[in-house]
Amino acid sequence: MRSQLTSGVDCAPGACTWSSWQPVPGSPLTDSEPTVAVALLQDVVTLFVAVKGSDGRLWLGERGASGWLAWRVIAGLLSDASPSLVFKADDAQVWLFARDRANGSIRYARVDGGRSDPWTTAGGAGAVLPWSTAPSASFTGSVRLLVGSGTFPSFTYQSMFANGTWDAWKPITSGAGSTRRPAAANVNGDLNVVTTYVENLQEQLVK
Amino acid sequence: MTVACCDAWIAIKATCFDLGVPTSACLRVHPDTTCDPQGSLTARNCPCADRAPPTPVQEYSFDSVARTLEPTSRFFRSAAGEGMLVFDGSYAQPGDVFMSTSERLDNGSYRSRIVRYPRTNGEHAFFDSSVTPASRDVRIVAPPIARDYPLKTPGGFGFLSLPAAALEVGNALMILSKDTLQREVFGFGTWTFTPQQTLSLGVGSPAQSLPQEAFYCAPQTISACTAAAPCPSGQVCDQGWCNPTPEIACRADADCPSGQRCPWKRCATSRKPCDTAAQCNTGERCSSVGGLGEAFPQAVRLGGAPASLWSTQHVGAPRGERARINAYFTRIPVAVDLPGQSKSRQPPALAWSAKPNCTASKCDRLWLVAAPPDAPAGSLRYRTRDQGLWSPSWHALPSNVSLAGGAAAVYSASTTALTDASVELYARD
Repeated sequence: MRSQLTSGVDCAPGACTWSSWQPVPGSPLTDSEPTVAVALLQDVVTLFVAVKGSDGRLWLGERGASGWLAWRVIAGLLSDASPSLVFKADDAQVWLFARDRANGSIRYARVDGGRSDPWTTAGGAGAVLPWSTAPSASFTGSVRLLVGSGTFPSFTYQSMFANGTWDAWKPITSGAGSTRRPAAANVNGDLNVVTTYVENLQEQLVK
Repeated sequence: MTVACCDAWIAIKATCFDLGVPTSACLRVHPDTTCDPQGSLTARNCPCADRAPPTPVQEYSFDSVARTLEPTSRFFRSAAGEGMLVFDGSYAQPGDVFMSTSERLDNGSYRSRIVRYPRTNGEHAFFDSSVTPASRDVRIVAPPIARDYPLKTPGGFGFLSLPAAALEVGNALMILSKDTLQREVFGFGTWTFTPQQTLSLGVGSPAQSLPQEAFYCAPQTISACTAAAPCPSGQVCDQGWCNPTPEIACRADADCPSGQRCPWKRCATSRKPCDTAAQCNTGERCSSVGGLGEAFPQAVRLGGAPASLWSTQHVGAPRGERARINAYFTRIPVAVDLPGQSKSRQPPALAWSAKPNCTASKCDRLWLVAAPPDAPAGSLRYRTRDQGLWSPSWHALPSNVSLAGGAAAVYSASTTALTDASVELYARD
């Protein structure tokens, strides 16, 4: 389902208007949250949406200048959590991240341009397997991958991809735990993150 | 008019002030001070035994109605040799009081502890109902809870690493030194130190002290000096060697006048500029000047969006040839609850909208979509953060279908001009 802000982005918070929820054409059945990323590919703004199918397969939808393309399966991985998409603006690639339901690791594949590259383990050394939440990927000049770990205190871990390699997984400096997928946004180059511990939302800067 | 005062009175602007009854006995300035008056009224013959006495602390209560300040404890220390450091944020929400201690040991090094006085039955172990403002005695009040705080800076400079600032954020007391941020977390009615959440501050791994802001120019040729053998013109004798005057800050040799250089190393004791130990006294190391100007933070504040702990290092009055580190402003990210309703039944989603050429205050905006408890089942709500401030409440999103789970959010447009840029939400029914 899709809804869009129909008033200006500078609307008064209580007076912003939204379109009704409408089905995304061709979207498959899913049992977890979708993920979305906007990419600039060959000077065309392209929107990517991915979901985990009820059977664990990963599906990818694209909306370009001519509208929605047919959804396709990114084969080679079965997942048990919501996926995450990121536009890697430094080299115009779109990466799809998902938790491998076989061992709880986070894996990723490049999916732009009709690709369905092989899945590769994401993140560096120090993974706390099995990861306990869905992944959250962002780009702030490097790819930033966040995920919640294990049982109490369920620290939120980050691994960054820069200069062609992943650095080691480390708890984020704020010390926040995550029992659900973290939400992240690139705010003028800084990564702003809202984590959930049980049902409590906390915001923080992640370096 | 001339005013004549009796003994032990002084006159200031024609007013006499009573300085007390003259006495040849020692004034009790500190219990660790040993006095030998020898008939004098000065403190000249009242030296400390062998080191500066530890500083005690005293608690006061302020009656905001009567506008009176009353002591509620005597001067106290946590142990005989420990000085007390009180934080700006010593009092935590449950009423417990945290402090740190500083003790100079016989070998010249320092030891520190984090001490906690819980509030029990409304008061702390140091409470004393019999105290008066005139009470001057120092008591030892052992803290019910204490733990060692290892000091990263060794030896006689250990005091630079003292934890001297703290602030409570959420359910955690953040204790800050120049080297680390430690957390004492309150939960289930008890405080727990969480070493796995300790942050090391500095540069590199393992973290080293922040580099100096500036060095000071030194002569190319090191010349010893004494009162009997002074320095040449343009130099002054300080600590036994000749220094240029005036002092000129530098980052590289090129910053210095002709005949001077910007030394990166100093002899460990004499502080002479050096390149090798051979230029120092026998047994003296030629080492980096690093860190000697950097000391504990004196204050820490919470602010910004998202909130961070902000602090600046205290500068320990470095001598002329030592490094000055006084321009570092440290920002440490912390996690804080969203103001107001911070609960959500579903995973949150974030999007940042930044519209070019927009002059309104709400164009650069963070959008948060979640399911606060008061949202009807199957619906989501949104909240915005403008200029760093969250909207006071959550607002409804369309409810034409019953949604399951959370959403994904993105700021998108059909072209890079962003003329039709908008926020899009994706969810499942």
